[in-house]
Amino acid sequence: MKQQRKFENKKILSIGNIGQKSIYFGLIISTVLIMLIGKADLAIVNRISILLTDLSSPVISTISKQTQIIGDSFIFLKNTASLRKENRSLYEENLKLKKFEIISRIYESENLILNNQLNLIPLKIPNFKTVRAISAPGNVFSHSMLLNAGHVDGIEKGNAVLFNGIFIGQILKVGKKSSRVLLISDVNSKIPIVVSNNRIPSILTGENLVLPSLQFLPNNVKIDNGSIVQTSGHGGLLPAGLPIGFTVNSSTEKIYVRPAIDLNLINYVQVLLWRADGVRLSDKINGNYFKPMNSEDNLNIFEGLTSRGNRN
Amino acid sequence: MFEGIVRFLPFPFQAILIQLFLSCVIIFFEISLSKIYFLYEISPLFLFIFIYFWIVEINFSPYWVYFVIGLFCDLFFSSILGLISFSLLISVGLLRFVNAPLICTNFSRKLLIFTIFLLILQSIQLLLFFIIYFQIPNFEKFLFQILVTIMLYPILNFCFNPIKLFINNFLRQ
Repeated sequence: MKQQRKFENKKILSIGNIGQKSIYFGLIISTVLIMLIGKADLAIVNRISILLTDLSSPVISTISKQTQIIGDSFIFLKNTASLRKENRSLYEENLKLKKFEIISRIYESENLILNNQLNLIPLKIPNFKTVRAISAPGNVFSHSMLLNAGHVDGIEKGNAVLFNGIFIGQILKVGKKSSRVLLISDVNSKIPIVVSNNRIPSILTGENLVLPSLQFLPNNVKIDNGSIVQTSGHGGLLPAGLPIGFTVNSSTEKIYVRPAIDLNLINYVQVLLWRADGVRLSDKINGNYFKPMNSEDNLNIFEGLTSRGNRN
Repeated sequence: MFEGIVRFLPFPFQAILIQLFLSCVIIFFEISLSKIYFLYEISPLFLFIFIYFWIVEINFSPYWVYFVIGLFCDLFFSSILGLISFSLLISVGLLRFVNAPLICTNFSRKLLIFTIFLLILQSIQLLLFFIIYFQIPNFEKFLFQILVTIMLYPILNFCFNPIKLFINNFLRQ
């Protein structure tokens, strides 16, 4: 039977033998070139990727709904088994939270008085959209996530993505009806942050590990274990004050950040439709991008221009 | 439409078309599996099991097929375009070099060669990732993912058997 199978499949083999070696090396070279092109972040590569994601997102969404049911049932079983234990821990947590509630009310009233005294201009509350996460990272090499909302829903590249109010990443690619989020744990993610207890600025860098780490910390700075880490808003790409997690000191000098939520439980996320001051959203929607001048016009661009910027 | 494809395409291309279609379905399934909380970042590598199954049980497809599958996979899984397609091409090239369909005479050999194939494939990815970023991703999860895939290989090998029968029946006709 086995011999017969091999014989039968000779037909397939015949197509595989036409100049296979040269094609093989050609393809290997082209994959290397593709890697280089991919790293160059060319617009055409991004467009193809976005188009494919857009086309396949309904299929992935349908399949992931089914797998989500399986996942949810496992969580349900796990929770049922540890119901008593969880009940006890919730009771203890409740007692602790009641104490914090009293303290926070005191702080709230104090904050209100101070704000009034300083005549503080209140921050704009950013608008947001809640969208479903279709997929989660499938392997250790890439920590990105697919969302089922695109620029039709007002989502733009660079928007902050939150889960239960905790910052988890930024929009990397936007299609018509789907978008991709770069999670904070990805190696390409670099987020300007501050450690909130003493306002130390740093960069939160993903390493494709469980915990991202802090880089470019000032010298001789001591950071306490469990300090709150939040976005600093430096650079104007992200709003300031979005909570991320807590610092974790390691045996080495490196300081890691534990996200305040479990990244593997993400199902619905909030996308902040926030834009830094000075960037006009209407221009981008109308397609009024920066355009270089024609080469012919460019020839006389500084002709007759004085040092004060006036034309003769 | 299906009839048109069958009429105008010679058999090898029909088989390739089936392989490409099934690969796409498996990629989508693999992506959606990561939504299960305990498979986050470690969803079993069904695609590589399928590719290996096709090589051992059916036959080698032309290299461009693996290139296309790898590239499609890259667009969904990898942050580096070409990472999976490069490693897949190298590993399939090695399988062809050792003539895997002839060596794999029994199940234990199939499993052993699959383990080596998967280790080489993943190691190349790890190496490329390290070269590009000077960083090693979560090694525990990396190993765990390989282990889960190897453990699932016998079950999936059994599940994919109808595909082999379908292709063989197709050939007889």
